Amino acid sequence: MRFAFDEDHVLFRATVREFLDKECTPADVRAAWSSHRGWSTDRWAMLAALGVTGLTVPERHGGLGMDELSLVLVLEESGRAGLPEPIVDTTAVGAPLLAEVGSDELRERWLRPVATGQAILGVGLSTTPYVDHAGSADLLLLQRGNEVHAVAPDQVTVFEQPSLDRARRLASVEWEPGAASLLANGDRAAAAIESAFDRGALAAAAQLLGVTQQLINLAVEHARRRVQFGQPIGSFEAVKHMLANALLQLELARPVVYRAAYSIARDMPERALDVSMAKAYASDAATLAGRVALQTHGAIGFTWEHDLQLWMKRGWALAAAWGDAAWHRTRVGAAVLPRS
Amino acid sequence: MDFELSPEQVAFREEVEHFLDENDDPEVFDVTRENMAQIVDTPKKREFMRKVGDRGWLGITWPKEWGGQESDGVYEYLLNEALARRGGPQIGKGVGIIGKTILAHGSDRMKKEFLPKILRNEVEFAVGYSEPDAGSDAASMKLRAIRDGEGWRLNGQKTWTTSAHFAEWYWVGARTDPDAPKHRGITLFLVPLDQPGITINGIWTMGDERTNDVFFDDVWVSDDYVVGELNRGFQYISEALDLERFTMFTFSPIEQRMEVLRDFVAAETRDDQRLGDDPVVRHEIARLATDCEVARVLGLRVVAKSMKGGPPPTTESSEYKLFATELSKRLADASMDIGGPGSQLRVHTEDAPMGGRAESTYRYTVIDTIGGGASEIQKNIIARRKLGLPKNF
Ligand SMILES: Cc1cc2nc3c(=O)[nH]c(=O)nc-3n(C[C@H](O)[C@H](O)[C@H](O)COP(=O)(O)OP(=O)(O)OC[C@H]3O[C@@H](n4cnc5c(N)ncnc54)[C@H](O)[C@@H]3O)c2cc1C
Repeated sequence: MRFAFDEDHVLFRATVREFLDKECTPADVRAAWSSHRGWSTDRWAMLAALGVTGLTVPERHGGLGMDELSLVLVLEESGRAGLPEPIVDTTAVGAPLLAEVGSDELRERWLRPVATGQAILGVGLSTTPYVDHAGSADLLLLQRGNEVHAVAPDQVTVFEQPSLDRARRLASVEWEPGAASLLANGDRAAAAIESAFDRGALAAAAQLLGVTQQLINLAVEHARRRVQFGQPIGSFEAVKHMLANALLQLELARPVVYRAAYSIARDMPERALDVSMAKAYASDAATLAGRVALQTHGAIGFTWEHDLQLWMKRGWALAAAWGDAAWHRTRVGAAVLPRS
Repeated sequence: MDFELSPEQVAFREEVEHFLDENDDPEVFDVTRENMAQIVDTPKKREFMRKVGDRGWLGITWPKEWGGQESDGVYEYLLNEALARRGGPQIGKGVGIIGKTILAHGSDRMKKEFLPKILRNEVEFAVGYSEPDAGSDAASMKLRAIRDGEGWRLNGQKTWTTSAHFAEWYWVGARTDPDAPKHRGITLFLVPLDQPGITINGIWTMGDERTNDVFFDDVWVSDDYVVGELNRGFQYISEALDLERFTMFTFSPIEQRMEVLRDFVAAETRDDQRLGDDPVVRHEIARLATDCEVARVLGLRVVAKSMKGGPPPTTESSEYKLFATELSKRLADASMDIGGPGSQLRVHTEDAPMGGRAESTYRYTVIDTIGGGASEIQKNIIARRKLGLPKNF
């Protein structure tokens, strides 16, 4: 056992962090909120040049062919930066799903552009009915009952469902399944849907770690600077303990999320259980950290001008996406205590 | 001990409900605006509040001499809660805070000028305690008032003044004696907001509502508009904050959100299972329902202790405010969680569960544990006044 990431994972994370610090500032996230599509093709192209968008694409389709252990730290960084680009749906879920069930022709047609950042994927499963960036996706991978379909954007009607996080452009999608769009059915589809869902839940959990970290960073920074009653508010134990609790919750969530990444990467039998524990914990950590960060900031944190809301809303939204904490805890319950 | 309302009180509540049914108007009542719905910021809301005044319901607890009916505080409570439940304007500020403080400490001249207007809702107030460097520590406010003729000249800045952009009068604390201990050198003033020298800039919040920065540049105020005694302002502010903690932080919206959540759980099916049959969800609902009842009774205890319009008991109102607002957040967390994937959708979006209440409540309630004295400050008050623990600043 080795409770650490490989050196190249850590290096890659550092590269991504450095890039995001420069190219995905709070001002950039804010710009995405008010932009037409909600994300930037330029920044996506730069992420592609770093190798991020091809991370999960098999090597023979022009990607790096890496697994979730490589991806998880990158996703965490993307959460820390509040990255608006569709890294969860395209990189964490869509590409592996297409690689798994796509026809040779479809894989050839789509995975290369995904790796080079020229195409993004949208994913809609029955458990996650609101498709992120459905309006700008180049190909939609959709579940219908026990089938997986690949549908072109011009064959669907998109109903916008505005998210409280304006960088996430959610929509419900209406479409007619047909033989031409069918990728898989039966057991093969069921297995693919489950692993796609687990990948999405892991990705959301990993992003939530980064979101939580950023919420805590912002709050700690404020607690150091803001003076009331002649002292920095961070010197009051009520504030200190509140922040320490939030940090503790994050520290508890982190190894569970890494564990889930490992289980997916190695396709362990307890994969679903590990993912559910991770997502439930990470959602709770982000919810708590959002509450604590706002409480620490006082009124200033409630304003539109302050950056805090960018992460609070991302945290709230991701907590509700890919299975909320209650849903995942129920799945944990079913796994550890099956019904007779 | 008697937990029941008297027949007269029940009749009053029914009369109020009937009146509200008759005056039902989505521009006046909007539950999705949560705590900001209470503000009387449009002509329609003003007109509605004037009608409430015409019924004799504003200042119902006030002395007859000043236009009141000397009724028990419970009537005011019933009225305010009924308004709050529908997301309507509330009586907290004019009647509950400013009117009561003027009644207790104002000059006869001030009573004659303001009390009748408050009872007919002909005047809106903004409340200015907070400044950029004086939030929880309101006693450190710096807005300066310097003696000038038969009045005072004010310079400086306030922030988070919620109603400043539509109110007529500003209920504002200023430092009149910089050499006294910080809470002994503050005086309360009433300042007309349309004066030259006052600049009001909007600040928009996560709850999509407006609050304001207010700047004073040589604004003159006559001695007639000094509230009560000079340099006693912070004492009045503290009393008024005790009032605010239970008149502005009403219980019935919490109760209503509990009902919305319960009805959602009862009706919704997920993964072929009725949510209402899920033991985890049932457990959560049971706990929240219990805590709602606790909050309701805590609120009633404050009302019972402050009958006849007297000042409310300090620690009891702190306990109520602390528990009710923290419960509000827990209820919002549970609604988001139980609401499932639709919880991330904005209010008024087609698919949003509970009519989007989960999302909008989530955004609004974050501030309840900060405004009106943060939870940590309530705990300090309880620890100091009820447990006698020492101050550390
Ligand atoms: C929407 C909105 C409307 C408002 N309307 C008005 C209004 O109309 N008029 C008005 O005057 N004000 C208004 N306020 C201001 C409100 O009263 C203040 O926000 C509140 O007093 C807290 O001050 P602050 O925001 O500066 O937070 P701070 O005082 O900076 O507090 C930040 C954090 O530090 C903690 N803290 C501070 N001191 C201590 C301590 N001694 N011990 C432990 N913890 C401590 C707090 O609990 C909080 O968690 C409004 C605020 C909002 C958000």
